Amino acid sequence: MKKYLKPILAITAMVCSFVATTMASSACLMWFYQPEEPKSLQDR
Amino acid sequence: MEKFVGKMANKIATNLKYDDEQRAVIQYGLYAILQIIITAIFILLIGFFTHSLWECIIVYISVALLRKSTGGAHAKTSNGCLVVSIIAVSALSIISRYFTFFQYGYIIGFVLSPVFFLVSCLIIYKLAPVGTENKPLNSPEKIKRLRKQSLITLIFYACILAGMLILSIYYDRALNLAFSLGVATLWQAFTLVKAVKK
Repeated sequence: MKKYLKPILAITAMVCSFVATTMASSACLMWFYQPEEPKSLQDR
Repeated sequence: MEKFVGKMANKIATNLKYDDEQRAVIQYGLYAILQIIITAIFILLIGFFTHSLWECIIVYISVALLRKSTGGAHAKTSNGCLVVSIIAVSALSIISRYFTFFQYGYIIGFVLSPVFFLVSCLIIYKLAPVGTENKPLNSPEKIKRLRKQSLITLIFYACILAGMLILSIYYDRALNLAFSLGVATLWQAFTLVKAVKK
C-alpha cells in the first residue's frame, strides 16, 4: 500500500493544481466562498 | 473545512517535497474540488427528498457556471458559504418545482421566466465581472475576457430557456425547469448587486 501512496499523492497534486489554475483564470471559485488566491496564480 | 483542506495539502506537499507556493496551489485546488463535491451532495440529497432533483441540478450548474465568469458576493467563512449555497439552491429549486400548483401558476411561470432572465442579463451586462478582496480583478484583459465569457454563457442559457419554454407547451415539467433557469440567473445577478454595494 505504501508504494502506491506517492503516485496517488502525485496524481492528487496534479489534479488539484489543474483545478486551481482553471479557477485562477475565472472571476471566482464556483460557489459562495473565495479563499485567498496563491501569489503564483494571481492575475491569470 | 478550510482546516481539513490545509492539513491534506500539508500532507501532500510534505510527502512530495513541495515548497510553500506549490502547497498553496494544491490547497486552493483541493478546496475548490471539495466545495463542489460537498455542495453537490447536499443539494442532490435535498432535491431527491423534495422531488425537485432536476430543478436542483439546473440551479446548481447554472449558478456555478455563471459565477465563474461574473464573480459575485461571497460568504465570510467556508461553512457560511456551504449553508448559504444549500439554502439558496434548495429554496429556488423547491419554488421552481411547486409554483405551478398555484392558481394561474403556469401563465405566471411562462411570463416570469423570460422576464427574470432578461432582468438578470441587464444586471450582468452592467456589472460583471466583480472581483473580491481575496481575488481582485485588476487586469483589463482579464476583465474583458470574463465579460465576453459571461455574455456567451448567457446566450447559451437563453437558447436553453427558449427551448424549454417551447417544450412546456407539450410537457408541463419543462416549465418548471425553465423557471429554475430564470430564477438561478436572477439569483446570480442579485449576488453581483450585493458584491458591488460592498
